[in-house]
Amino acid sequence: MDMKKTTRIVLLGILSVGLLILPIIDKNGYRQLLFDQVFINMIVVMGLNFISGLTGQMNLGTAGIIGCGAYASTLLCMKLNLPVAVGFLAAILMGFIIGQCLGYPSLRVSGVYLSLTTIGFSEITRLVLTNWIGFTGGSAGVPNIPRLQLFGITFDSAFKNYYLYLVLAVLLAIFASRVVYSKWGRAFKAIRDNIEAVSACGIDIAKLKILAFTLAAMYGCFAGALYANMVGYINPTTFNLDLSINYLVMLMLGGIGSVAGNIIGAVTVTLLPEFLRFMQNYYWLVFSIIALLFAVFLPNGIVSLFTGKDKKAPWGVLGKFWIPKREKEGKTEP
Amino acid sequence: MIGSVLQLLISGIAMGCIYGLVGIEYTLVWNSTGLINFAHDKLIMLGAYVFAGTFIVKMGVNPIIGVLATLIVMFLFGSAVAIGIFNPLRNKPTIFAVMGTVLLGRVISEAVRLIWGPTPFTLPTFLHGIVHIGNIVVATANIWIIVVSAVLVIGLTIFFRTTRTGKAMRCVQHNKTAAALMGIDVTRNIIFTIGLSAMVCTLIGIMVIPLFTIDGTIGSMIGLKGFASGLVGGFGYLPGTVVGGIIIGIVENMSTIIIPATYKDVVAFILMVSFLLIEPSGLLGHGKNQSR
Amino acid sequence: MKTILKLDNVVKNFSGLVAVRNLSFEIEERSIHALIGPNGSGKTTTVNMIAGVLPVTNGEIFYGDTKISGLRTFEIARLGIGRTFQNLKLFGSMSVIENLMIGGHQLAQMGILRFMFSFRKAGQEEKLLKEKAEQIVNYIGLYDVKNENVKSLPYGKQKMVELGRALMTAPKLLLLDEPAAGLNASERKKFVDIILKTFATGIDILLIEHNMDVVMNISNQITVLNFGAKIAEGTPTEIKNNREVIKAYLGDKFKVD
Repeated sequence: MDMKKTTRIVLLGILSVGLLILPIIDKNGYRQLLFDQVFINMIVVMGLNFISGLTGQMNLGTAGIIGCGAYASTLLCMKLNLPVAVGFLAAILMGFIIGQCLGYPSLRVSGVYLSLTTIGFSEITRLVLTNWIGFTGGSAGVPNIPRLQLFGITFDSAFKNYYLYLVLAVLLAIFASRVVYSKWGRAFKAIRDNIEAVSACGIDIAKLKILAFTLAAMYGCFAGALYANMVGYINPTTFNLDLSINYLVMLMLGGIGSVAGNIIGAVTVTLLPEFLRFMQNYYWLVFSIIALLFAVFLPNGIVSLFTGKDKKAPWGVLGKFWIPKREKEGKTEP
Repeated sequence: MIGSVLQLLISGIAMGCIYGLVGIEYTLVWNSTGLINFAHDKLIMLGAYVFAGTFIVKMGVNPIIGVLATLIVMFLFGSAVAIGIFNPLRNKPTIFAVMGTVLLGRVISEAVRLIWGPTPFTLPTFLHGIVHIGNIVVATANIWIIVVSAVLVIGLTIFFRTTRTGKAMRCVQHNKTAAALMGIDVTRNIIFTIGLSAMVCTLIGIMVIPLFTIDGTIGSMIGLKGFASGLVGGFGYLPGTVVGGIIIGIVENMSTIIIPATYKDVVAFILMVSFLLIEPSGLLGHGKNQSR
Repeated sequence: MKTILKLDNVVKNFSGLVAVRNLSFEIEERSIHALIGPNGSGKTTTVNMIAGVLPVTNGEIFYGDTKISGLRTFEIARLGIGRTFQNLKLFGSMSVIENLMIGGHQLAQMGILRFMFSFRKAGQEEKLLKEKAEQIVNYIGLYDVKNENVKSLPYGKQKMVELGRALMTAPKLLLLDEPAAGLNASERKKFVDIILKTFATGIDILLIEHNMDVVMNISNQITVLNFGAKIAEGTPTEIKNNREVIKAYLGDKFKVD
């Protein structure tokens, strides 16, 4: 419909302009760091979506993955005196390796057993990073991480990082979106919906599960490298189970399966503390209660409010303004 | 030399009993609801805080009365949580069930921080002291742990075998539909099971007070390692988880003879992951433990 | 007539329970072959072994000249054996057309790396897949519900979707597990028509079915199982009058007049 398309283009246009001028308008250094964090979180959640959202394999080891990416890129650059950009590539490679390795357990165990395996991986990673003091610096962490230098620019401020991370997040979102709406996305969802029928369609489930894990790990490790670059200092206590849970909350709140949901989830959960600042001490409690209510009552996340899944609910009307084009072509799950 | 090895062994057994108890409490929940209680570590913490923070420190009650009072409070809390959260989550896909219990844990954790404050504290006189057995020095707490655990396991076994409620719970665990058809109120049973599991968590929390400081993390490692006991010993099978827990406790402690003590925590996780990958039904496990 | 599927002394043992014992039969080219028998006689177990879902305890299964017992499920599917399931296994979060497109997953051969960089080729492959799916959705008569979520469809239409999905795998042999079960008379007729239409396009069919009308009307060869063993084999007329078969279904005391 022309009206809908025009509305969407206008909204997108406003959003893009807003994103581009945001750090210029809001010069607050702390908030700029926060925006950077939003992009990093987006990337992690989009990765997590491949494995836990689409394929339905429970991954509670995200923290371990990000930690590996952060440490891999950092230690490689600092110990071998390589440019940071190489570190970023190393993180992606690390993600590939982790994904291939983590993929195999998912072939043997699933559901709760898989969650335990991923927790095990994450905890072992954290404990090794904490205790291998000679190599990783232990709980003191790694300070003074060199900043990225690309095209002659040194990305040493939250402001510069903002635009870099924005571009990266957009590119990765485009790729993630393409995968979600491709035959692989459908196959991932099929594995989640009814795994026994998937082989009957000639699909090699093992290869697909490993692919999903690999994509998730590559996204996660890359985000880890970006995190190290943003903060300039990493230490193992950051990469704990709570962090993994946070990312799953973002995934769930936004809406499992769709990249739009991933983005909404990441933005909401990362920025919410700022809006709930007035609650001070009670913020975390209130947020956890909200998240818990989502899990029990609205497990399909914020996005489900817009896709008209619940056609009788009053919020279905929001769908009139924003139903992604895919909906029209009949993909009932974004 | 032998003396210190024996000491390691005994404290390993004691810790192993704790892991075994953790295994029991989540096995109870798993068998009756098919959910893994990822909030159990926070329930352990809550038990410790309610006992130590309120009954002892604030109200100065006699410890025995304190224990009983805490057990009652926690049973009620567990039942409430069962009605409000576990029951609705039962039929949802795994990811939401996991997230639900995890978030419940968060809520409890935060509530504890707000109610009792973030400052860690200890109960210096509770289960304090050491005992000499021949050449070896054993902490009184460890003896209490082993004894209480043994009593609890025996008590639970008798409960499940002889009482009506216990037998009904076993039916619900095996086959909910059949149990319902037999006139057993499945939902009420589930609520009772979770309440019972909360009580076990409470006991765990109370018993480890002398071993650790009481703060927001008491229970985290125990909870995680407790998962390992089921996997090593036999997931979903009560005697199995106890055996598994004790094995982990012993191996963990004895490993410090060979590897640096700082890596002690890794041992449990490595055991867990190994069993997950090689033999998820554990040493004593039965085939009925399907992966979910 | 060429044999396209051959079971040679196949045994299936579930730790002590022998579900299928020394089963041998052949399916000839250009036939609709029915596998019947009382409940628990091993029919679905046999089909699951052919499809590779269950491993064979003993014996061999051949598809043409290829030994398929021992191959993995997806490999057997790729060789041209499609199947439907007795308890429907549709992908509940997706629409009819998406379910069909998953069936056609293997038709698009491009790897994910090329997919990343080649927008045009990716679009082309997706378009081809969509066209094939639309063809099939037309064929099974569900064009007007093609974008509906499969869970919202009545049972009869869901069964059609499952059939359509199996057809998307471009099978040469189709294993249908109780296609008529749960359908009313008019749905059954529609289904039988589609099965015959499909057969006419050159696809051979192995049918598990309880509904004797359907079996007698459309199959040209029947294998009868009881307690995991073959007790009779022949044309519908032969089977209808076979003593052993009648005994198995209706009991010893029943007299044939």
